[in-house]
Amino acid sequence: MIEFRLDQRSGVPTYLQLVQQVRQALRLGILQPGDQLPTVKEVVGKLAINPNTVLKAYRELDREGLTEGRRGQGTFVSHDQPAAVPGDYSALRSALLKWIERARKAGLDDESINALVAATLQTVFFEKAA
Amino acid sequence: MSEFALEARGLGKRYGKKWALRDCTLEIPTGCVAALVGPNGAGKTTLLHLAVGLTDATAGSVRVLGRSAWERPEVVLPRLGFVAQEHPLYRRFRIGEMLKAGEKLNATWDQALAQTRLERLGIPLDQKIGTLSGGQQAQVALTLALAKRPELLVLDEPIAALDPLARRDFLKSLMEAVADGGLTVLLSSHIITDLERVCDYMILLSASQVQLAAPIEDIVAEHRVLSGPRSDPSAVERLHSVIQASHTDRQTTLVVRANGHLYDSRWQVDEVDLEEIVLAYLGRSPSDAPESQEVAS
Amino acid sequence: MIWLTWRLQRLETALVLAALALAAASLIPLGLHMASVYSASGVGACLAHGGSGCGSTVDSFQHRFEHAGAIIPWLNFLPGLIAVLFAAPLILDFEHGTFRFAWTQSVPRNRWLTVRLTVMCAAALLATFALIQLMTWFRIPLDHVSGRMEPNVFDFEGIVPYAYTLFALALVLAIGIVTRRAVTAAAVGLIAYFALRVGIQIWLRKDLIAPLRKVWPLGLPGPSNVDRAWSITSGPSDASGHLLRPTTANHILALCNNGSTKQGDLACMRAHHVFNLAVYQPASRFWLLQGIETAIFAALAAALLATAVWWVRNRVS
Repeated sequence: MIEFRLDQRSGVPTYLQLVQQVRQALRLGILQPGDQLPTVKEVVGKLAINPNTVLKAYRELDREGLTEGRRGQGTFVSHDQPAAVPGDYSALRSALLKWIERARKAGLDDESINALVAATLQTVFFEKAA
Repeated sequence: MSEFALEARGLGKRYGKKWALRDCTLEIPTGCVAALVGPNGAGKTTLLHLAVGLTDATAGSVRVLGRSAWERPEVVLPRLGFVAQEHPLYRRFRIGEMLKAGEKLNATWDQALAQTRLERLGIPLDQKIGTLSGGQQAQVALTLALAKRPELLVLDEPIAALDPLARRDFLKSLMEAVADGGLTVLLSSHIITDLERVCDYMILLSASQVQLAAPIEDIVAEHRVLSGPRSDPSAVERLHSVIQASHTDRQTTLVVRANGHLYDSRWQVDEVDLEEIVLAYLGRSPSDAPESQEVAS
Repeated sequence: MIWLTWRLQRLETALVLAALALAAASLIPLGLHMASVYSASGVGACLAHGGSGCGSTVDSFQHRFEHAGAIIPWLNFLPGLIAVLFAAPLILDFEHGTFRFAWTQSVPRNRWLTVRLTVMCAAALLATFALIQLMTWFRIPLDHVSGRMEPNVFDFEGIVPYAYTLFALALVLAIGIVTRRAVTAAAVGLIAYFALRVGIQIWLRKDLIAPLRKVWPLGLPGPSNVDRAWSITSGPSDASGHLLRPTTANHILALCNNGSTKQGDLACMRAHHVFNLAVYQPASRFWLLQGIETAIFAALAAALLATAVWWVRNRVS
């Protein structure tokens, strides 16, 4: 069984934190196909959060195909997990490592790198929206 | 079941010459957990007392669950749970007797729910109310309100007097009750921390007027903080409403309620959390209130 | 609602019962003793038929039990105490804010208020009934001898004590609801209650109806109804019923008390135009005076109760 926790200061919306923790638990094998997620009431009684937030997280997990809600029984981890593509991630990761090395050489510290990534993401987001 | 658990139209209450609440129009959707936020003396308690029919309006109207609690108490009260400020209970009673009082005063009463809840909280029924801690008293008051099986639960400053641990415990058991379904909650507070995770709707009251009433998600999505070189915010103001503007000799910082998409190369646009938004609204002088703006435009 | 009301005033009811028991414990043994002396010494027979030596029999009985009246003024506190104790639970409801709990359950507040006020008044009247029964029983022999018109007797018999209790109750309650302070209400209410009681007893009661004024020559029997009446003024006067000044009276007494026969003394005083004067409320007016004073206090109680109800309905939220 997975136990949720919250980081109030992270700025990440609560429902997203729950989603990320389930994803992480699946990756680490803490959650196995067929496992039941805690009921809404259990999560709410533990974290003192709005039940709608938990429902939203579970809906998101359902939508991604990671879990499935069974009427009157609860939410369970799906037996057929969408295939992860680790190869793609490792290629991206090595490209990113190279880029970070270049950034370091250009004299950027970690904070500046983070700021640059965030600003670029924002620009991309707005260009897409416009 | 109606769409709104609570609807106020032009609601006002005057004590002598002073308006405690003025021109209050808002709706609280059924099924949400709504926070009524504002500084002390903003009119929160007045609004809640009007809603549950403890007092009658000087102007306008407020309907809960489709009816006025003042005019039709026999219809509204059985469907309503209310925990007043400082959760008053009969001090000389044992908890069991307090439950009996609830049972005697209500047609619908879930004694099993009350007993199970208190048992889970580790509060024995034969204990005297006067010997309970503040947190336990709040839990007993909440239990009494929930045992009515209400459709709307109204709580006046339920966590103000509690220590952080008791506060968290109280919110946990409140959220468990919400998870059971069929319950709309309206709670007032002058503390914003803890509310964001618990509530999904917010009403901001200051200087006796409603400043903001919307789903918290929308509030956070619509507000942004803009920072940039010192400039006149009137260009931004033409499209969006500027809630708060502060200037240094080189820099201008604006808290803005965006009207649609907000993108401007001259400004750095950042997200802003609920607490900052609330503080920005509370920092405004009364003349900036939305009503007077509408009159001016 | 009835259960809740009872539970809220359980402690106060016990205290009132304890106070009544204390009063009973001090009056009942004395009352039994007095009744046995009354029949044994033939006071009753004397009063009914008269006879030789009856004057001294009655006088000695009266003298013997004079001290019995000494504890009675203290019992004047009982209606006040009953009022404070039965008003307290309702005032505490407003002081502690628990009325908000009650008003947001399913019982509409008008019914809540009606039940609370009815039970409160009924309990206070019942306690007063017990007090009146106790006092009236205790006073049976004394009432036969000296009537029940005097202050501290009049105030404990008939119907007027009910009005006192209701008035004190309404007064304490009205102050309590406006101030939302039980201790303030008890203190201010009791002071105001006793001030009005004493004021009416001293200045107003004797003139509620014009008292009888009788002037008769010395040596003749006075009016028959003066015996068990409330004597307001009595003594030597002139022919038109003005009391003689003490110096004048003493002067005449010294002049006439020349050691000759009693008849001679009387004749001397008659020659100086000395008469007897009695201003009094006769025993036959007991119920009339009770009715008037009851009406005064009951009307005040009703006005205060109406004020309290108005305040609760319009000023409390």
